Amino acid sequence: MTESYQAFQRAALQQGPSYRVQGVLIDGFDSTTKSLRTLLPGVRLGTCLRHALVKLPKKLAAIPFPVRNALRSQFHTLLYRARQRKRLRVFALGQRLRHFADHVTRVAGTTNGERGRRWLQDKKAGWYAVFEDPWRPVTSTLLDQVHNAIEWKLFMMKAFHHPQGSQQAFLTGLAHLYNLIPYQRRAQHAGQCGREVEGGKVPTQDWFLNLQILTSGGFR
Amino acid sequence: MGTAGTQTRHNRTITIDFQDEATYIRLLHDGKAFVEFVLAFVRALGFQHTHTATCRGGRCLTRHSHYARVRLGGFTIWRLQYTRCKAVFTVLPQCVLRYRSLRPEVARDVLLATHGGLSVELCAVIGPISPMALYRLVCALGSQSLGGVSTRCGLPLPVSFLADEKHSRCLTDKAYLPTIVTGRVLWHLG
Repeated sequence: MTESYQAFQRAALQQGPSYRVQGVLIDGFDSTTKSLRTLLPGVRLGTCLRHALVKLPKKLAAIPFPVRNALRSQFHTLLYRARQRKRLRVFALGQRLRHFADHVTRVAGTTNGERGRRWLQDKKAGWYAVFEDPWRPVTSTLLDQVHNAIEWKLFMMKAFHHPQGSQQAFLTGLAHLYNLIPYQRRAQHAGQCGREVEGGKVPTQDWFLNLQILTSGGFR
Repeated sequence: MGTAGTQTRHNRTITIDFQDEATYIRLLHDGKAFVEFVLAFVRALGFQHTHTATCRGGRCLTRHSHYARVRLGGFTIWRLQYTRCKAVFTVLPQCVLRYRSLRPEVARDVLLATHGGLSVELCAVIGPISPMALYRLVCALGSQSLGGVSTRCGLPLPVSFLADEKHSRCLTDKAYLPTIVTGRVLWHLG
Protein backbone atom coordinates (compact mmCIF):
# COMPACT_ATOMS: atom_id res chain seq x y z
CA MET A 1 0.00 0.00 0.00
CA THR A 2 2.80 2.40 0.94
CA GLU A 3 4.48 1.73 -2.42
CA SER A 4 1.31 2.60 -4.27
CA TYR A 5 0.91 5.92 -2.44
CA GLN A 6 4.61 6.48 -2.97
CA ALA A 7 4.07 6.07 -6.72
CA PHE A 8 1.55 8.91 -6.58
CA GLN A 9 3.97 11.06 -4.61
CA ARG A 10 6.77 10.38 -7.11
CA ALA A 11 4.53 11.28 -10.05
CA ALA A 12 3.38 14.44 -8.28
CA LEU A 13 6.95 15.50 -7.53
CA GLN A 14 7.76 15.10 -11.21
CA GLN A 15 4.95 17.52 -12.01
CA GLY A 16 5.88 19.99 -9.28
CA PRO A 17 9.17 19.50 -7.40
CA SER A 18 8.00 21.74 -4.54
CA TYR A 19 4.78 19.79 -4.03
CA ARG A 20 3.87 19.20 -0.38
CA VAL A 21 0.73 17.56 0.98
CA GLN A 22 -0.89 19.51 3.82
CA GLY A 23 -3.77 17.30 4.84
CA VAL A 24 -5.24 13.88 4.21
CA LEU A 25 -8.66 12.54 5.15
CA ILE A 26 -8.87 8.82 5.83
CA ASP A 27 -11.46 6.43 7.21
CA GLY A 28 -9.40 5.81 10.34
CA PHE A 29 -8.39 2.26 9.43
CA ASP A 30 -5.09 1.34 11.09
CA SER A 31 -3.18 0.17 8.01
CA THR A 32 -4.07 3.32 6.07
CA THR A 33 -3.02 5.50 8.98
CA LYS A 34 0.27 3.66 9.36
CA SER A 35 1.01 3.74 5.66
CA LEU A 36 0.33 7.45 5.27
CA ARG A 37 2.21 8.34 8.46
CA THR A 38 5.25 6.55 7.04
CA LEU A 39 4.96 8.25 3.68
CA LEU A 40 3.93 11.72 4.78
CA PRO A 41 5.51 12.39 8.17
CA GLY A 42 4.21 15.53 9.80
CA VAL A 43 1.05 15.71 7.72
CA ARG A 44 -2.15 15.88 9.79
CA LEU A 45 -4.43 12.95 9.11
CA GLY A 46 -8.11 13.74 9.47
CA THR A 47 -10.68 11.04 10.15
CA CYS A 48 -13.93 10.78 8.23
CA LEU A 49 -16.93 11.88 10.32
CA ARG A 50 -19.38 9.64 8.50
CA HIS A 51 -17.27 6.59 9.27
CA ALA A 52 -17.27 7.68 12.91
CA LEU A 53 -21.07 7.80 12.95
CA VAL A 54 -21.26 4.36 11.38
CA LYS A 55 -18.65 2.94 13.73
CA LEU A 56 -20.07 4.20 17.04
CA PRO A 57 -23.08 1.81 17.25
CA LYS A 58 -20.71 -1.12 16.72
CA LYS A 59 -18.82 -0.12 19.87
CA LEU A 60 -21.98 -0.37 21.94
CA ALA A 61 -22.78 -4.02 22.60
CA ALA A 62 -25.75 -5.67 24.30
CA ILE A 63 -28.04 -2.65 24.50
CA PRO A 64 -31.49 -2.20 22.94
CA PHE A 65 -31.68 -0.73 19.45
CA PRO A 66 -33.52 2.49 20.47
CA VAL A 67 -30.81 3.30 23.07
CA ARG A 68 -28.04 2.69 20.56
CA ASN A 69 -29.83 4.79 17.98
CA ALA A 70 -30.38 7.62 20.44
CA LEU A 71 -26.67 7.65 21.35
CA ARG A 72 -25.73 7.72 17.69
CA SER A 73 -28.10 10.60 17.13
CA GLN A 74 -26.57 12.54 20.04
CA PHE A 75 -23.10 11.92 18.70
CA HIS A 76 -24.24 13.14 15.27
CA THR A 77 -25.53 16.35 16.86
CA LEU A 78 -22.24 16.80 18.67
CA LEU A 79 -20.22 16.54 15.46
CA TYR A 80 -22.69 18.72 13.58
CA ARG A 81 -22.43 21.50 16.20
CA ALA A 82 -18.65 21.24 16.15
CA ARG A 83 -18.73 21.88 12.42
CA GLN A 84 -20.86 24.99 12.87
CA ARG A 85 -18.29 26.67 15.12
CA LYS A 86 -15.42 28.62 13.67
CA ARG A 87 -13.01 27.82 16.47
CA LEU A 88 -12.74 24.62 18.42
CA ARG A 89 -11.77 26.42 21.63
CA VAL A 90 -15.18 28.09 21.68
CA PHE A 91 -16.87 24.73 21.32
CA ALA A 92 -14.58 22.74 23.65
CA LEU A 93 -14.70 19.54 21.64
CA GLY A 94 -12.58 17.57 24.12
CA GLN A 95 -14.91 18.42 26.99
CA ARG A 96 -17.99 17.54 24.94
CA LEU A 97 -16.49 14.18 24.03
CA ARG A 98 -15.71 13.46 27.67
CA HIS A 99 -19.27 14.35 28.63
CA PHE A 100 -20.57 12.13 25.85
CA ALA A 101 -18.45 9.23 27.13
CA ASP A 102 -19.87 9.79 30.64
CA HIS A 103 -23.36 9.77 29.16
CA VAL A 104 -22.65 6.47 27.38
CA THR A 105 -21.48 4.98 30.70
CA ARG A 106 -24.68 6.08 32.40
CA VAL A 107 -27.00 4.86 29.65
CA ALA A 108 -25.22 1.78 28.26
CA GLY A 109 -23.18 0.52 31.20
CA THR A 110 -19.57 0.65 32.32
CA THR A 111 -18.17 -1.78 29.74
CA ASN A 112 -19.67 0.10 26.83
CA GLY A 113 -18.67 3.39 28.41
CA GLU A 114 -15.04 2.35 28.74
CA ARG A 115 -14.93 0.96 25.22
CA GLY A 116 -16.50 4.12 23.87
CA ARG A 117 -14.12 6.33 25.86
CA ARG A 118 -11.07 4.51 24.48
CA TRP A 119 -12.43 4.75 20.95
CA LEU A 120 -13.15 8.47 21.29
CA GLN A 121 -9.68 9.01 22.70
CA ASP A 122 -8.10 7.17 19.74
CA LYS A 123 -10.06 9.04 17.09
CA LYS A 124 -10.09 12.50 18.67
CA ALA A 125 -6.92 13.72 16.98
CA GLY A 126 -8.34 12.91 13.55
CA TRP A 127 -11.52 14.87 14.24
CA TYR A 128 -9.55 17.82 15.56
CA ALA A 129 -7.59 17.85 12.30
CA VAL A 130 -10.84 17.91 10.30
CA PHE A 131 -12.43 20.72 12.32
CA GLU A 132 -9.36 22.90 12.44
CA ASP A 133 -8.97 23.18 8.68
CA PRO A 134 -12.17 24.45 7.06
CA TRP A 135 -10.88 23.66 3.55
CA ARG A 136 -10.52 19.99 4.38
CA PRO A 137 -13.36 17.60 3.37
CA VAL A 138 -15.10 16.09 6.39
CA THR A 139 -16.41 12.86 4.90
CA SER A 140 -15.02 10.40 2.40
CA THR A 141 -18.31 10.10 0.50
CA LEU A 142 -16.82 11.07 -2.86
CA LEU A 143 -14.10 8.48 -2.50
CA ASP A 144 -16.65 5.79 -1.71
CA GLN A 145 -18.53 6.77 -4.86
CA VAL A 146 -15.34 6.27 -6.88
CA HIS A 147 -14.81 2.87 -5.29
CA ASN A 148 -18.35 1.81 -6.10
CA ALA A 149 -18.01 2.94 -9.72
CA ILE A 150 -14.69 1.17 -10.25
CA GLU A 151 -15.87 -1.92 -8.37
CA TRP A 152 -18.80 -2.27 -10.72
CA LYS A 153 -16.59 -1.98 -13.79
CA LEU A 154 -14.19 -4.59 -12.44
CA PHE A 155 -17.11 -6.86 -11.61
CA MET A 156 -18.21 -6.65 -15.24
CA MET A 157 -14.74 -7.81 -16.28
CA LYS A 158 -14.83 -10.91 -14.09
CA ALA A 159 -15.51 -13.39 -16.85
CA PHE A 160 -13.00 -11.80 -19.16
CA HIS A 161 -9.71 -13.62 -18.80
CA HIS A 162 -6.51 -12.08 -20.11
CA PRO A 163 -3.40 -13.51 -18.48
CA GLN A 164 -0.89 -11.13 -20.09
CA GLY A 165 -2.87 -7.97 -19.45
CA SER A 166 -1.64 -5.07 -17.39
CA GLN A 167 -3.85 -4.54 -14.40
CA GLN A 168 -2.41 -1.10 -13.66
CA ALA A 169 -2.89 0.17 -17.21
CA PHE A 170 -6.46 -1.13 -17.26
CA LEU A 171 -7.32 0.54 -13.95
CA THR A 172 -5.73 3.84 -15.00
CA GLY A 173 -7.69 3.71 -18.26
CA LEU A 174 -10.92 3.29 -16.31
CA ALA A 175 -9.87 6.17 -14.07
CA HIS A 176 -9.35 8.42 -17.12
CA LEU A 177 -12.87 7.60 -18.25
CA TYR A 178 -14.17 8.41 -14.76
CA ASN A 179 -12.44 11.79 -14.82
CA LEU A 180 -13.32 12.81 -18.36
CA ILE A 181 -16.83 11.55 -19.07
CA PRO A 182 -19.55 14.03 -17.95
CA TYR A 183 -21.50 12.43 -15.12
CA GLN A 184 -24.66 14.53 -14.83
CA ARG A 185 -27.29 15.35 -17.43
CA ARG A 186 -29.63 17.75 -15.68
CA ALA A 187 -28.29 18.79 -12.30
CA GLN A 188 -25.90 21.54 -11.24
CA HIS A 189 -22.91 20.16 -13.14
CA ALA A 190 -24.81 19.04 -16.23
CA GLY A 191 -22.51 18.10 -19.08
CA GLN A 192 -19.34 18.66 -17.07
CA CYS A 193 -16.69 16.08 -16.32
CA GLY A 194 -15.07 15.71 -12.90
CA ARG A 195 -12.06 17.79 -13.86
CA GLU A 196 -14.25 20.69 -14.99
CA VAL A 197 -16.27 20.51 -11.80
CA GLU A 198 -13.08 20.88 -9.78
CA GLY A 199 -12.01 23.96 -11.74
CA GLY A 200 -9.94 22.41 -14.50
CA LYS A 201 -10.21 23.30 -18.17
CA VAL A 202 -10.65 20.66 -20.83
CA PRO A 203 -9.51 21.34 -24.40
CA THR A 204 -12.87 20.95 -26.16
CA GLN A 205 -16.58 20.42 -25.47
CA ASP A 206 -16.39 16.83 -26.72
CA TRP A 207 -15.35 14.37 -24.00
CA PHE A 208 -14.00 11.80 -26.46
CA LEU A 209 -11.87 14.34 -28.26
CA ASN A 210 -10.60 15.52 -24.88
CA LEU A 211 -9.73 11.93 -24.06
CA GLN A 212 -7.83 11.58 -27.33
CA ILE A 213 -5.94 14.87 -26.91
CA LEU A 214 -5.10 14.52 -23.24
CA THR A 215 -3.93 10.92 -23.44
CA SER A 216 -2.08 11.27 -26.74
CA GLY A 217 1.28 11.64 -24.99
CA GLY A 218 2.96 14.40 -26.98
CA PHE A 219 1.68 17.27 -24.83
CA ARG A 220 2.86 18.39 -21.44
CA MET B 1 -0.81 -10.62 -14.49
CA GLY B 2 -0.47 -7.47 -12.47
CA THR B 3 2.66 -6.21 -14.19
CA ALA B 4 2.74 -2.72 -15.60
CA GLY B 5 3.25 -2.40 -19.34
CA THR B 6 6.80 -1.38 -20.23
CA GLN B 7 7.16 1.76 -22.28
CA THR B 8 10.08 1.47 -24.64
CA ARG B 9 10.28 5.10 -25.72
CA HIS B 10 8.55 8.38 -25.08
CA ASN B 11 5.23 8.66 -26.85
CA ARG B 12 5.17 11.93 -28.79
CA THR B 13 1.90 11.41 -30.59
CA ILE B 14 -0.37 14.45 -30.72
CA THR B 15 -4.04 14.37 -31.62
CA ILE B 16 -5.17 17.38 -33.61
CA ASP B 17 -8.79 18.25 -34.30
CA PHE B 18 -9.01 18.93 -38.06
CA GLN B 19 -12.83 19.21 -37.78
CA ASP B 20 -13.39 16.68 -40.56
CA GLU B 21 -11.50 14.20 -42.69
CA ALA B 22 -11.79 16.32 -45.87
CA THR B 23 -9.97 19.25 -44.24
CA TYR B 24 -7.20 16.92 -43.13
CA ILE B 25 -6.76 15.45 -46.58
CA ARG B 26 -6.75 18.92 -48.15
CA LEU B 27 -4.10 20.14 -45.71
CA LEU B 28 -1.90 17.11 -46.42
CA HIS B 29 -1.16 18.59 -49.84
CA ASP B 30 -0.02 21.92 -48.42
CA GLY B 31 2.90 21.46 -46.04
CA LYS B 32 3.07 25.05 -44.79
CA ALA B 33 -0.66 25.24 -44.08
CA PHE B 34 -0.51 21.86 -42.33
CA VAL B 35 2.23 22.96 -39.95
CA GLU B 36 0.51 26.28 -39.30
CA PHE B 37 -2.76 24.52 -38.55
CA VAL B 38 -1.07 22.20 -36.06
CA LEU B 39 0.73 25.09 -34.36
CA ALA B 40 -2.45 27.17 -34.19
CA PHE B 41 -4.37 24.27 -32.65
CA VAL B 42 -1.71 23.60 -30.03
CA ARG B 43 -1.52 27.31 -29.22
CA ALA B 44 -5.32 27.43 -28.83
CA LEU B 45 -5.18 24.52 -26.38
CA GLY B 46 -2.52 26.27 -24.34
CA PHE B 47 -0.41 23.12 -24.22
CA GLN B 48 3.28 22.66 -24.95
CA HIS B 49 4.85 19.87 -26.92
CA THR B 50 7.08 17.39 -25.15
CA HIS B 51 10.53 18.41 -26.31
CA THR B 52 13.73 16.55 -25.58
CA ALA B 53 14.99 16.87 -22.02
CA THR B 54 17.67 19.43 -22.77
CA CYS B 55 15.58 21.60 -25.09
CA ARG B 56 14.17 24.89 -23.80
CA GLY B 57 11.30 24.81 -26.27
CA GLY B 58 10.50 26.85 -29.32
CA ARG B 59 8.06 26.64 -32.15
CA CYS B 60 10.18 25.96 -35.26
CA LEU B 61 8.40 22.93 -36.68
CA THR B 62 8.98 21.29 -40.01
CA ARG B 63 7.49 18.28 -41.76
CA HIS B 64 9.66 15.27 -41.08
CA SER B 65 8.25 12.24 -42.85
CA HIS B 66 5.02 10.53 -43.63
CA TYR B 67 3.71 7.03 -43.90
CA ALA B 68 0.56 5.31 -45.07
CA ARG B 69 -1.44 3.44 -42.41
CA VAL B 70 -2.26 0.13 -44.10
CA ARG B 71 -4.92 -0.81 -41.53
CA LEU B 72 -6.81 2.36 -42.36
CA GLY B 73 -6.80 1.76 -46.10
CA GLY B 74 -3.63 3.71 -46.82
CA PHE B 75 -4.49 6.75 -44.70
CA THR B 76 -1.53 9.17 -44.64
CA ILE B 77 -0.03 10.13 -41.30
CA TRP B 78 2.51 12.93 -41.04
CA ARG B 79 5.31 13.43 -38.59
CA LEU B 80 6.61 16.85 -37.61
CA GLN B 81 10.01 17.68 -36.22
CA TYR B 82 11.38 20.52 -34.14
CA THR B 83 14.34 22.01 -35.94
CA ARG B 84 16.16 22.81 -32.70
CA CYS B 85 15.87 19.68 -30.54
CA LYS B 86 15.00 17.23 -33.35
CA ALA B 87 12.04 15.83 -31.37
CA VAL B 88 9.65 14.15 -33.78
CA PHE B 89 5.86 14.14 -33.31
CA THR B 90 3.31 11.95 -34.98
CA VAL B 91 0.26 14.01 -35.85
CA LEU B 92 -2.94 12.03 -35.61
CA PRO B 93 -6.18 13.56 -36.85
CA GLN B 94 -9.19 13.17 -34.56
CA CYS B 95 -10.60 10.48 -36.85
CA VAL B 96 -7.71 8.08 -36.17
CA LEU B 97 -6.93 6.16 -32.99
CA ARG B 98 -3.30 5.38 -32.28
CA TYR B 99 -2.32 1.90 -33.57
CA ARG B 100 -5.98 1.02 -34.15
CA SER B 101 -8.18 0.61 -37.16
CA LEU B 102 -11.20 1.14 -34.94
CA ARG B 103 -13.39 4.08 -35.90
CA PRO B 104 -13.55 6.80 -33.21
CA GLU B 105 -17.37 6.77 -33.27
CA VAL B 106 -17.38 3.08 -32.39
CA ALA B 107 -14.77 3.61 -29.67
CA ARG B 108 -16.80 6.50 -28.24
CA ASP B 109 -19.96 4.41 -28.03
CA VAL B 110 -18.38 1.37 -26.44
CA LEU B 111 -16.33 3.39 -23.95
CA LEU B 112 -19.43 5.29 -22.91
CA ALA B 113 -21.34 2.02 -22.59
CA THR B 114 -18.53 0.50 -20.51
CA HIS B 115 -18.43 3.56 -18.29
CA GLY B 116 -22.19 3.48 -17.96
CA GLY B 117 -22.17 -0.05 -16.66
CA LEU B 118 -22.60 -2.33 -19.67
CA SER B 119 -20.42 -5.42 -19.62
CA VAL B 120 -17.54 -5.79 -22.04
CA GLU B 121 -19.26 -8.68 -23.79
CA LEU B 122 -22.43 -6.64 -24.31
CA CYS B 123 -20.40 -3.67 -25.53
CA ALA B 124 -19.02 -6.00 -28.16
CA VAL B 125 -22.59 -6.74 -29.19
CA ILE B 126 -23.69 -3.11 -29.57
CA GLY B 127 -20.58 -2.15 -31.54
CA PRO B 128 -18.43 -4.01 -34.09
CA ILE B 129 -15.62 -4.55 -31.60
CA SER B 130 -14.29 -7.58 -29.78
CA PRO B 131 -14.03 -7.60 -25.97
CA MET B 132 -10.25 -7.91 -26.29
CA ALA B 133 -10.08 -4.83 -28.52
CA LEU B 134 -12.07 -2.86 -25.99
CA TYR B 135 -9.84 -4.09 -23.19
CA ARG B 136 -6.74 -3.02 -25.14
CA LEU B 137 -8.28 0.35 -25.87
CA VAL B 138 -8.84 1.01 -22.15
CA CYS B 139 -5.28 -0.17 -21.42
CA ALA B 140 -3.91 2.18 -24.09
CA LEU B 141 -5.65 5.10 -22.38
CA GLY B 142 -4.06 3.98 -19.13
CA SER B 143 -0.52 4.49 -20.40
CA GLN B 144 -0.75 8.18 -19.44
CA SER B 145 -0.58 9.03 -15.75
CA LEU B 146 -3.65 10.45 -14.03
CA GLY B 147 -1.70 13.26 -12.41
CA GLY B 148 -0.11 14.32 -15.70
CA VAL B 149 -3.45 14.54 -17.47
CA SER B 150 -5.04 16.44 -14.58
CA THR B 151 -2.28 19.05 -14.44
CA ARG B 152 -2.56 19.43 -18.22
CA CYS B 153 -6.18 20.46 -17.55
CA GLY B 154 -4.92 23.22 -15.29
CA LEU B 155 -5.70 21.54 -11.99
CA PRO B 156 -3.16 22.17 -9.22
CA LEU B 157 -1.73 19.14 -7.45
CA PRO B 158 -3.97 18.31 -4.48
CA VAL B 159 -2.82 19.93 -1.24
CA SER B 160 -5.43 17.98 0.67
CA PHE B 161 -7.00 14.74 -0.46
CA LEU B 162 -9.03 11.69 0.50
CA ALA B 163 -7.15 8.41 0.64
CA ASP B 164 -8.51 4.92 1.12
CA GLU B 165 -8.12 1.38 -0.17
CA LYS B 166 -10.43 -1.28 -1.44
CA HIS B 167 -10.06 -5.00 -2.01
CA SER B 168 -11.54 -6.02 -5.33
CA ARG B 169 -11.00 -8.30 -8.28
CA CYS B 170 -9.59 -7.15 -11.60
CA LEU B 171 -10.25 -9.74 -14.33
CA THR B 172 -9.34 -13.01 -12.61
CA ASP B 173 -6.84 -11.57 -10.14
CA LYS B 174 -7.26 -10.01 -6.76
CA ALA B 175 -6.81 -6.27 -6.87
CA TYR B 176 -5.93 -3.94 -4.06
CA LEU B 177 -6.87 -0.41 -4.93
CA PRO B 178 -5.26 2.39 -2.96
CA THR B 179 -7.12 5.46 -4.17
CA ILE B 180 -6.54 9.20 -3.92
CA VAL B 181 -9.39 11.57 -4.67
CA THR B 182 -9.97 15.30 -4.49
CA GLY B 183 -13.58 16.23 -5.00
CA ARG B 184 -14.66 14.60 -8.25
CA VAL B 185 -11.17 14.01 -9.58
CA LEU B 186 -9.38 10.73 -9.23
CA TRP B 187 -5.64 11.31 -8.80
CA HIS B 188 -4.40 7.81 -8.15
CA LEU B 189 -5.84 4.34 -8.47
CA GLY B 190 -4.21 0.99 -7.81
